[in-house]
Amino acid sequence: MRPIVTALLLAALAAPLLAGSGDFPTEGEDLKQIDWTKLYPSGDGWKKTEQVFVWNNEAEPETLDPALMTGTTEHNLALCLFEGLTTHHPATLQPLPGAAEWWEIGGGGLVYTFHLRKDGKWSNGDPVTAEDFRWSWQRALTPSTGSKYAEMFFPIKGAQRFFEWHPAEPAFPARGDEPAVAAKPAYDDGPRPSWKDVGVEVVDPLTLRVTLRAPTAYFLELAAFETLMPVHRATVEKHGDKWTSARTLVGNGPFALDVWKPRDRIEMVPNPSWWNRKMIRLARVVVRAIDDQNTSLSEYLSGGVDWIRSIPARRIDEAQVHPDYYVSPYLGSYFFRFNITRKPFDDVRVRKAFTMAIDKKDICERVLKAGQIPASGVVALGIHGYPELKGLTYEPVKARALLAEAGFPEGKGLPEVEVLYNTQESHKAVCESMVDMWKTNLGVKVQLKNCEWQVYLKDTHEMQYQVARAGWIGDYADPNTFLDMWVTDRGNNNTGWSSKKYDALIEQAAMEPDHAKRFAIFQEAERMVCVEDLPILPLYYYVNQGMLRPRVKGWFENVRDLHPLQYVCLDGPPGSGK
Amino acid sequence: MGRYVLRRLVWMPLVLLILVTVSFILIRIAPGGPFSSERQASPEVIANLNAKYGLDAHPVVQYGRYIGGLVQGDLGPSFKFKDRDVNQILATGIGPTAVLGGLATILALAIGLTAGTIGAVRQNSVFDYASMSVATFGMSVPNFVTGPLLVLAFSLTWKWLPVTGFSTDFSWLPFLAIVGLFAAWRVAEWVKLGPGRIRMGREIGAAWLAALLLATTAALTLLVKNPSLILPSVTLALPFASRIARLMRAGMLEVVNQDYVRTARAKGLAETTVVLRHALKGGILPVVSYLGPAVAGVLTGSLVVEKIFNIPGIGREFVEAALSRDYFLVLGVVVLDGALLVGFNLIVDVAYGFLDPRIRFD
Repeated sequence: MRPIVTALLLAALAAPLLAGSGDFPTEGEDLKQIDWTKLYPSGDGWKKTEQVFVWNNEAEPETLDPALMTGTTEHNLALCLFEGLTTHHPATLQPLPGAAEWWEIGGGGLVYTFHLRKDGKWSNGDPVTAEDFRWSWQRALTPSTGSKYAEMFFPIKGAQRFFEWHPAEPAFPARGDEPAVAAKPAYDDGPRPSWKDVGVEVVDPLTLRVTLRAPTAYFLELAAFETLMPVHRATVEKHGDKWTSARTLVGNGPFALDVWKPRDRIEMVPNPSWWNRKMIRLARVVVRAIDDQNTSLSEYLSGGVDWIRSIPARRIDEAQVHPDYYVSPYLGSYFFRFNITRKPFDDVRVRKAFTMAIDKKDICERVLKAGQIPASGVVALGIHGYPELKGLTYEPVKARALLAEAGFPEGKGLPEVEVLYNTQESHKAVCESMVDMWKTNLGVKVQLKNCEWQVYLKDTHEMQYQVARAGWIGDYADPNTFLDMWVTDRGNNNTGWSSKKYDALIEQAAMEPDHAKRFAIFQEAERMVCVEDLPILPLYYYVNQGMLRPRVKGWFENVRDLHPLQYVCLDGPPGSGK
Repeated sequence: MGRYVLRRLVWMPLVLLILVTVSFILIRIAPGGPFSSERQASPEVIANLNAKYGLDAHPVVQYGRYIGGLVQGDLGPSFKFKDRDVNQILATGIGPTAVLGGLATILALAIGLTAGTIGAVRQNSVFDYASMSVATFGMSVPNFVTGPLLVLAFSLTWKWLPVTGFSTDFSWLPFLAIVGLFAAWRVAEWVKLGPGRIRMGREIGAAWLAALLLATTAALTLLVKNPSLILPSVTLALPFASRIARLMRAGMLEVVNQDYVRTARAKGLAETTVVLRHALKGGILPVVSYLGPAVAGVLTGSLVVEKIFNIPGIGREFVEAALSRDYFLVLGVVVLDGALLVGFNLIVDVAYGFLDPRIRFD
């Protein structure tokens, strides 16, 4: 890795740790006293600049309905148009008050009482109430709404049962059909749950009490997640699926939707009803939907946009010498799954040998080149307070010995091995250098098999593979998002690996209220996955990279690539791109 | 003629039905589905989504429902873009695609017909060699090369033109000016000739000229008012113009050596009259038969050009929808493209009848 990139990344990793400590209260009435000006860039230079912020969001959003969103493209728009009970600190991602002015945590970390703002308003002037949240959450949890991220509610008591007991009504019910009756989930003996059994209670118009299933340390962060954002009931009921059009959308976020030209641009203006409107400096936000990375970079270089969120892999060298280039850690990790139900990877020694024969640092520096960080664990870096797992290192000699011990000296007698990946140039380059390393270090010949995305997904989920490429982006900054998928028979396990001890550890972590103890449990679990049993081969941690003009102030890099724009302003003339 | 067109129109829905049926089967037997992702949703969620969109029924029932909706003009929902249905997606996408395709067609015709005609009339001249070299280049270099090269030169190096952006600001002024000038010219001519000598044939010729001028004016106005359209339409027009120029040149060369042209020359007509009035009509035939599918092609959008310049058209929808198994969006684009192609082929066949007196429809 280039020294400069390393330095940048280390600085970026350290920054949130420094800023996060004790600047802002985490609960109680102190939250009311937060001095928001601390989050805004100082100086008056911005007053002389036209405050129109144009940036490229990389893709056309699939929806503007927060309950249906699944990706970062949509999430960054949701942060403008809607506001959850909590919001993120723009740099550290620490939960800060949003629609809720303050909150109390009681009942051993199980009961969260959110006190909403008296001056909280929707963009049409209606007050934002606790009932709005209750209704929106019930809507998102109602299966016929079609939310793919409904499981974000499952830490709430009763939410999972409610969801699984109420299957969606068919879109075309046959004549004379009875209304859909739940097929009772197999594990469940209790009576059919109603919404009353879900731990969401409207105490008074401005107070919402949420009871959790287990003390979920990251619940305040979840409360800022797009699936948990409120929607305006009257609007949704009036316009149905089409309520998000520029003409009809009503939100409670800092910005209001003005123009939506699909595949071209979304334009937003400050929401006049937002409780902190006077702090917003931008007069207009223009969000482009340029999905071709080369076009996006050209647009930046020609001066058309102030911020782009990605760099095409082939032009990294060119981009890295540009002064506006930035790179920072991202909450994602790249790994390979082993199918442990098939030979030869049913033997942990073979999995270990294959892992230790890979020089991850070399792949990061020579193939990927953007500053990706070699990984020996699966939990991405940048989770506040969670240490990086020091796992297996590159030891070709030991790897060779392990393979011999497993009965395949110099790879003799080893069944044919095939690595599955989805067709993409960068995956291909990574896989090819791994094949090369296995050949040199272990003496084994490995085949590559590339598939179209959908075929690759199908083969992975049905475990029709031996080794398969994979990536995982964290939904929230907590180790749980990377570790609970390895629990026995979880939908995204896909390796056949199962360990009672591991399942117990994850459950134990869910019940553990103490932060430090919880992280210790997670670390032990991560060690099982990445050092002892190895159902996966961790390769590297993702990075964010892009270009940002120096005139953009109040914008921060963070591990989830989330950027609340209410803090942003422009100081200086539009860039020429030189 | 009327019966021929009618018969073709009756066949059209049947052709489209076969097209839709084959596409429906193909997209449905492709592995995967609209709701699969790297982060796999739970079986409950998938079941809910299938029920919500009616994908839980037997495929034959689904096919029946789809055709039922299609007949009523309902192209169904999009699984990817949940806030808009396929009708809306195609409606917003067809505009930009049509504007760009129309611009490219006009540019290609203006450049291609002129270059091809001059090339044929002045065969083996410097102009002929030069224009045919450019045309060979234009035909053989794919637009994923020309597009970025144009961007590099005009947007990044000289900073004259924007890379992306789509707008359709328009001014009627040049348009009205042309119409006014043209009317003044005709009136002056009529006054000069006197009432008895106005001939219909001449007026139709003049009307054609007016139409060509107006189309070119409209295109140029649009390009001047919206500089962001210049690079994409030039990129799209280049191979198109090259092909037209070559076809036109070949067609003209064949015609200028025929007897009826020699007769026209022998009558002592001016060379321009011979070329424009006699030879052009025959020489343009190969271009016309090429234009049908070609115009349908540019009007259904180009994946590459729309990507390079981020044009919000429908060219990208088809490929992206197919990759993400957005069943109804794929089918919607197929229906639209199919209808355009069938429609333009019909127009070409009818135009043939006007241009070539030997062709009769029975």
